[in-house]
Amino acid sequence: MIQKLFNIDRRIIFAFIFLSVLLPFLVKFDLPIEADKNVRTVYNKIEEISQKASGGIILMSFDYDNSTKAELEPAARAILSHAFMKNVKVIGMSNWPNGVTMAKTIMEDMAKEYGKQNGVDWAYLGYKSGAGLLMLNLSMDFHGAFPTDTRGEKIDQIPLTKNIRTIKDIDYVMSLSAGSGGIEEWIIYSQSKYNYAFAGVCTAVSAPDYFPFLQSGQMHGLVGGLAGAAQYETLINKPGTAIDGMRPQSVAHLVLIFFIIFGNICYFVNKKFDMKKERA
Amino acid sequence: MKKNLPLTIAFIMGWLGILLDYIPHKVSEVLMTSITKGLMVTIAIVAFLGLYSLLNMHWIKIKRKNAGWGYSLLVFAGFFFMLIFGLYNQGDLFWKAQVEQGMVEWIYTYIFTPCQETMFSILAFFIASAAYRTFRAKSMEAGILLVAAVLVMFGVVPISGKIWSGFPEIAQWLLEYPNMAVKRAIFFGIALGVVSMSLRIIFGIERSYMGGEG
Repeated sequence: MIQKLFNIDRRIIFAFIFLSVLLPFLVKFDLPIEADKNVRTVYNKIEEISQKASGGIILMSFDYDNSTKAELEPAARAILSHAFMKNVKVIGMSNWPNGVTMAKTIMEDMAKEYGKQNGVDWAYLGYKSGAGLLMLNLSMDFHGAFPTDTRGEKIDQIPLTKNIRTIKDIDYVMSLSAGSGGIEEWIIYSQSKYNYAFAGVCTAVSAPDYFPFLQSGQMHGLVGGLAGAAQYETLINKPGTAIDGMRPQSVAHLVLIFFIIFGNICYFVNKKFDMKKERA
Repeated sequence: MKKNLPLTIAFIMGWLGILLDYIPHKVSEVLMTSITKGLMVTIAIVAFLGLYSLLNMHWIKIKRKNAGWGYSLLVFAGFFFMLIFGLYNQGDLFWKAQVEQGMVEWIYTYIFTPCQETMFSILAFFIASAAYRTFRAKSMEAGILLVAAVLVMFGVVPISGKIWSGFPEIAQWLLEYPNMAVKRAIFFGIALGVVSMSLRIIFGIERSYMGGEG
């Protein structure tokens, strides 16, 4: 019996995971979501720069693609909502070629929702190869790094970007990153040299990697995974897909923990039986 | 010449990179901007080499009818479809910015996006199955790792706060202290390794990048 449980058919585990994700979408229940200090710092910074007479400018670098869209897009939408609500201007770019259309769609959707004008309130510059080198280059020569936006408009003629010469002319930089060519490169190639306010938005699995940068002050805020996005949605009081996603994620985690504990119980019982057999 | 030229270039560019980074002068900034721009162009050119290498590998696979050669046909189909639609650009041709809601965007939204999302979502199932089979407290160290992992996994989801408010705090503490200390040590190790490897390349001690001589 124990041996059977020990070698449980993986399709049973798959079925449990499937149900643990599906059922919480159908059965709604409330969960307490409280923003941690790293998410709150990002929120507070956007609030702070919105007080500027010019409205403030954020550079959002969409350094991910569709594979991590489910985790990072809710955060991107929540931060854009917050920025547009507060009349903060947003410039978007990508270090991942596969994320260009996705990032542009998110920016267009949010701009439409808040009635923001392309070129005046927001701009999307697209993708350019180089990652770390691009970050270093645009930090010194913004117009040289991106001569045009995705519409083909010259960047030195776009009202939002014409006065941005270096990264220092931007109030807040954030990378929405799913790996290489994201947060770490921004810190290594640009932030540590030019010392500006920088925040990261990342997948839950990579969030622990960035804690040393938080302590050193190179990164002053972090929105980690879908949970971070749900916390941000709570702060701006605009429930979206992240808060909805907390139910299946919570239940799936519980099921996973149950299987890990159950697997260990089976392992120890099995070990005891084996020892008894050896003695006999 | 074949050996000395790359070694000299590596030596000059290596020192130039270090010096320009530490000299806060306008000339150094201008020079750095030009160098990074040049390197970005080089990376873009290298992409063609990568493309040639990829297509050549799949072409050989098709020619020799190796196992799974049908998938290689899909690589060619995907590549040429995207290339043709990208260059055609709904009649505007490739020297103009990509047309909104054109074929390239359609293929990206309705073929590429669902495929990539599906691939990644399958991971959840495999992780659950792998965790059940392999995440065992076989030793004291594995036991500590298991308890920490379970506490973090549980503490980061809001349902834990509903059960006991201490769970999120424990998870946060684990992330901010033990995790950060270990990560920092790893980063220091990596950084020192990168510095020593860079110096070896600059001084011509490490030559494997020239063709595996070591």
